[in-house]
Amino acid sequence: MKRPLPYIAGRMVFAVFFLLTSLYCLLAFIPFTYQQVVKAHLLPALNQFAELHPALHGGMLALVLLLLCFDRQAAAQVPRAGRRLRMCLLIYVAVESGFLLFRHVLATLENSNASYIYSLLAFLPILGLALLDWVELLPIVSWSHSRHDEDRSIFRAACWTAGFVTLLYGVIAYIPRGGSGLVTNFPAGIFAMGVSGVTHALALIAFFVVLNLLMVVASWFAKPALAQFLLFYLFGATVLWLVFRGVVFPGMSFQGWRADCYAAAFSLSLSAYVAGLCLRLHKRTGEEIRSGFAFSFWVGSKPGNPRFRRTLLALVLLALCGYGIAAATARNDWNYLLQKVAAIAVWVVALRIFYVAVRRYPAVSRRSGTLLLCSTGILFAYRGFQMAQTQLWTLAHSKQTCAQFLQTYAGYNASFKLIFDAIAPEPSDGNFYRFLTKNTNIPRSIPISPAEVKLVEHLSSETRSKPNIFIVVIDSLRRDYLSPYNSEVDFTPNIERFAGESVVMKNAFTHYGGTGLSEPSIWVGGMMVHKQYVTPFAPMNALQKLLETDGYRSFVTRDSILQTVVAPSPNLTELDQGIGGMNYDLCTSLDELEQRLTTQPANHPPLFAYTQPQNIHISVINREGAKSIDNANYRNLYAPYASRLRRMDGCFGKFVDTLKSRGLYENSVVILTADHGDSLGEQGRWGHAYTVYPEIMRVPLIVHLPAALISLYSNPRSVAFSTDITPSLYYLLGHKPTAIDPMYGRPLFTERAGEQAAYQRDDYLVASSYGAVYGILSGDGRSLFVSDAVNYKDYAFDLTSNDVGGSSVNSSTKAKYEKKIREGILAINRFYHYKGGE
Amino acid sequence: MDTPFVRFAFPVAVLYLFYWALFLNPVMDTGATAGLSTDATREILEHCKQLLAEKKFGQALPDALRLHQAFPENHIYIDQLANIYGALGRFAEEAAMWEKYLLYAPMPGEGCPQIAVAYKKQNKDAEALNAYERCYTMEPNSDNILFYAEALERNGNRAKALTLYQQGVKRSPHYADMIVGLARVEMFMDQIADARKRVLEVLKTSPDNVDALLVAGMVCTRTGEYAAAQKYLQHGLQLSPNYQDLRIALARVFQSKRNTSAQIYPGSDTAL
Repeated sequence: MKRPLPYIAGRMVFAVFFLLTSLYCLLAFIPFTYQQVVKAHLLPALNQFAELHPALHGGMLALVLLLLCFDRQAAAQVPRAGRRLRMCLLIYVAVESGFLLFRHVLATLENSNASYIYSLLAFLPILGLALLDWVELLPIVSWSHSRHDEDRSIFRAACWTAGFVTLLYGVIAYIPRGGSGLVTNFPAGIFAMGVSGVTHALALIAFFVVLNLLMVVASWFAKPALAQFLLFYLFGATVLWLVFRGVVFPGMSFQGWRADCYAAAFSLSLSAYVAGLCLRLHKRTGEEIRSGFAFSFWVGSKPGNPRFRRTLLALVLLALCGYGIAAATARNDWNYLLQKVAAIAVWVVALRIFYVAVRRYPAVSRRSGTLLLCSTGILFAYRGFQMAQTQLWTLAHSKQTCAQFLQTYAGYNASFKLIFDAIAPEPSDGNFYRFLTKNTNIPRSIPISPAEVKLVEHLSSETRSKPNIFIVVIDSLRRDYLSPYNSEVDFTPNIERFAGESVVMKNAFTHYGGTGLSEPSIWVGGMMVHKQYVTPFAPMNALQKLLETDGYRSFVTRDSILQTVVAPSPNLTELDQGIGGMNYDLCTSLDELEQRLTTQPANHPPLFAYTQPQNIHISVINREGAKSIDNANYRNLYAPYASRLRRMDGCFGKFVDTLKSRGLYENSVVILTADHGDSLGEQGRWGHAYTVYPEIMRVPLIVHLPAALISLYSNPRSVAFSTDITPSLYYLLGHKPTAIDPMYGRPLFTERAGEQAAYQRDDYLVASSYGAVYGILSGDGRSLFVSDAVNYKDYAFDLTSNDVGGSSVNSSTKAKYEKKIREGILAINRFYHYKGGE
Repeated sequence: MDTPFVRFAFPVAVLYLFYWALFLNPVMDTGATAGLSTDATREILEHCKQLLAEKKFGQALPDALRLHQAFPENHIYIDQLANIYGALGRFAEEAAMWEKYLLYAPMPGEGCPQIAVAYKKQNKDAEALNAYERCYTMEPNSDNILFYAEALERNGNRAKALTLYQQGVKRSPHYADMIVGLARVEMFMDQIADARKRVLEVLKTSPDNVDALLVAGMVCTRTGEYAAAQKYLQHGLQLSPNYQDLRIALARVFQSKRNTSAQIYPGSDTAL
C-alpha cells in the first residue's frame, strides 16, 4: 500500500487538532482538571494552544480544503452524496472558524456544562471527514469474496508480542527513572519475570481468541474481508471505550453517564476516522483486499518476505520509545494513566510488527481448533502459576508477602500493572465506593451555598498589639527532607536553625492530599465539602475575616486557587504578580516581600504575608529536566528535589535574617509548612493526586512565636493539621476560645494545657483533593486506614514504622472505618447543607 | 472445525472460560507467605467463615488454626483465632492471640480492649491493667481512656483514675460513661458536690442510665438524702434487676436510714 506521507500527515494533524480541542474542553468541564490544569497552567503548552485556537482553526480550514482536493480524480468519481458531504464539511468548518474569530471559545471556557457540549461538538469535523471516506470509498473498494483466515499468524504474533513486552517492561522496571528502580534479589527477579510473562501471554492470547471469534462471524458474510474490517474497527472502538472507562477517566476523577458518552464519542470518532483513512489510502492502489484484519492494521494484502533486520530495527526503536515514554512519564503521571496508555500503544505497535514478520496464510485455516486449545492451555498455565505462586515465592526468601511484592512490582512495570489491575477481583460490595465517588469532586452543576465558618462566636477587633504573621507554605514539601524531622538530612541548616527557635509539630498532617483542597482548607481553618469550589468563598474564609477584622496589611501570592478563595481587598497586595502559577519561586517571592517590608512606614499596621512556592512540585522538577541543580551527594534522597530544597533553605534563612535585622522577628508569627507531601519513588509511585499515602499526608509544621507569646503551652507530639493554623492565629490574636467542632482545626497554643484536651479527637478524616480516596487517621497519628474508590482497594498503614506499602484489612476493621469515613463525609455535607451525597 | 456452529461455539466457549477463570472465579491471594495453596486457603477460609456465621466456634477452630499455622504473621487470621478462643472461653489462648495481634497488625489498636478483657476474664488483674495501659499508650482515644481509668479504679489507684477521667471528659464532654466514672471517683474522694452536679447532669439527658443512677444513689446516701437515694436506686433496679451493686447500695440506704432512725427513735428500727 503506497502512503503519500504529506496526505497522512495532514490527516493526522487535522485529527489531532480536533481531538486536542475536545480534550481541552473536557479538561475545562471536569472540576479538578479545570482548577489544576486549565487555570493553574500546569501544562503551559496546552494554554498556549487555547490562546492560539482561533488561528489554528483557520489553519484547519485551509488544511481540510487541501485534503479534500488531494484526490481530484476520486472527487470526480464520487457519488452525489459524497459531494454534498464535502460541501457540508467545508461549510461547517468555515462557519466554526468564523464563529471562533468573534468568540474566543477555548480561552474563555468555564467549568460548566457548555464545556462538555463543546467537547462533543469538537468530534463533528473528525466524524464528517470519516463519513466522507466511508461514503465515497466503501462501495468502490474491491473486497475479496473468499475466506482467508489468519489464525496462526495472529496467534504467533500474539505470543511474540507477549514475550517482547514482558522482556521490555521487565527490564524497564529495573532501570532507575528519577528515583531508584526496582531492587530485588535474583530469585525474586525471576519470579517477577515469570508472573509478568504468563500474565502478558494470557492477555494477548485472550486478544487472539476474540479475533478468532470475529473471523468466524465475518466468514458468515458474502464479503468476509469487508466484515472483518468493520468488525475489527468496532472491536477497536470497544477496546478504546473500555480503556477510557477503566484507565483514563478514573485517573481524571471523571465517571458517570457523561464519562461513558464522551468515551463512546471519542472511541467511535477515532475508529471511524482511522478506518476512513485506511480506505482512503487503499483506494490509491486499487488491489483486492483479501484480509480484513491485515487491511485494518494497515498491512498490504499479500504477505511479503519477512525481513529480519527490518523487524529487529523496528523492535529496537519501539523498545527505545517504550522506555523513553516510561522514563518521561513516570514522575509526572496521574495514577499511572500515561504509562498505562503508553503500554497499550506499545502492545499494538509490537503486535503489528510481529504480525508483519510472521504472517502466512493458507486459503482456509485448519488449525483454529489447535490454536484455541493452546489458548486454553495458556489459561490453565496462568491459573496453575497463580495457585503455585505463594509456594514459588518462598524461594525468593523475601520479607514481603507474595501479594505485597506483586503490588510493588506492578508499581514499576506499567504493562503488567495494566493487566494486574484489570483482572483484580471486583470489590464484593461496591456501595461504599459508590458513596465515596458520589461525594467527591461534586460538579459545578450541583449548586452548594456557602456556609458561614465561625471560629469564634463574635469576631471583633482586639485592642492589644498584634504580631506580624508570615506563612510560607512550600508546595509538596516532605517533612523527612528537613533536618528538624530527619537527622540524616544536612542540607537545610537554616530551617534547622529556625526550628531551634520555634515549635516543631512532630506529628503534623494535612487533611487533603493535593493542593486543590489543602490550600483553601488552611484559610478556612477546617474541612470543606469536596467541591472546587463553593462560591462565593468569603463566608468560609476564616483567615481573611480575621485579617480584615484586626486591620492587617496583607501580601499574598494569589495563585489560581487563591484567586477564588481570597477576595481582593484594599488592604491586600498581591505578590508574584505576572508570574505563572507553576513558576512561583520562594527566593523571588521572599525578595519581593523583603522589598515591600522596607517600604512600610514606621507606624505600619500589622503585616501578614502568605506565599506558596512551587520550586519542588514534581511537575516543575520534571519541566526543569528532573536534574539536581548542584553536585552535592544526597545519598538515598531524590537529588533533584533535595538540591532545590537546599537553595530554598538558603532563601528562607536570608528572609529570617532580614526579619531579625529589621527587628520584626521577635514580634512575628512565622510559619513554615506544606500543603501536602509527595511520593518520590516509593514502590514506583510519584507525585500526588489520587492517593492518600503516608508520605503525602504527613507535612512539616514549624511555628515561631513572638517573644510575648512564647510562654503559651503546646504539645509538639500531638496530632496537628495544617487546618490548625488559622484557629491558632485566632487564639494568638486574642480571639478565644475557638469553636470546638470536628469540622474545624484547633489552636496549637493555649494558655493552659487543659484547654487543648477538648479539641483532641480519636479519629480524623483525610482525603485526596482530586479523587474518591478517603482515610481515617487514628491512634494519635499512628495508624492510617485508606479506602481507595479509584482503584477499589483498602489499605492500612502503621505510621510508627516505615510502612510504605500498607497491609490488607479484615472485614470488621474495614466496616468500622468505612462507617467513620461515611459519618465524616456526611457531617461535612450537613455543614454545607448538601444533601445529594447520601 | 469446519462446521459453522463449532467454529463459532469453540472460541465462544474459550472466551467464557477466560471470563470464568479471571472474573467469576479468580484465585484469591490472601497475602500469604507459605503453607497452603491459595485455593486451599480460600476454601478453608470460606468454610471457617460459614461456621463462624453459624456460631459453630468449636468446629471453626481447626480451620482457623490451619490458617494461622500456614500464615502465622497474618493479622486477619490471628484476629479470627482470638475471637474463636474468646467465644470458646479459652481466655488464656485468646489473650496470647491478642498479644500476637498487637505485634503484627498494621493497626494494633484494633486489638483493644479485647486483649485486656481476655486477661480480666482470667482474673489476671495486673495483666489486664497492663494491657489497658498499653492500649491507652498506643491509642489514647476516649474508649481507651475510659477502660484504663476504670481498671485503675478497680485496682484502687483512684488519684490516677481521676486524672484520666478528667482528661477523658475534656476530650469527650458528652461521653456519659466517662462523666459517670469521673463522678464516681470524685464521690469516693469526697468531692461530693462535684460528683453530684456531674451525675445529675447525666441523668437529665439519660434518666435511664443505670450506672448514673447507682452513683446518684450513692452520692445521695452520703449526703443523707435517703429518700432520693432510694428513688434513684429503685429506679435502677427496675431497669436492671440483676445489677448487684444497686442492691448493695440500696441495702446500705436502708441500713443508713435504720441507723439514723435508731438514733432519733431508739428501739424503733424495725419500722424500717
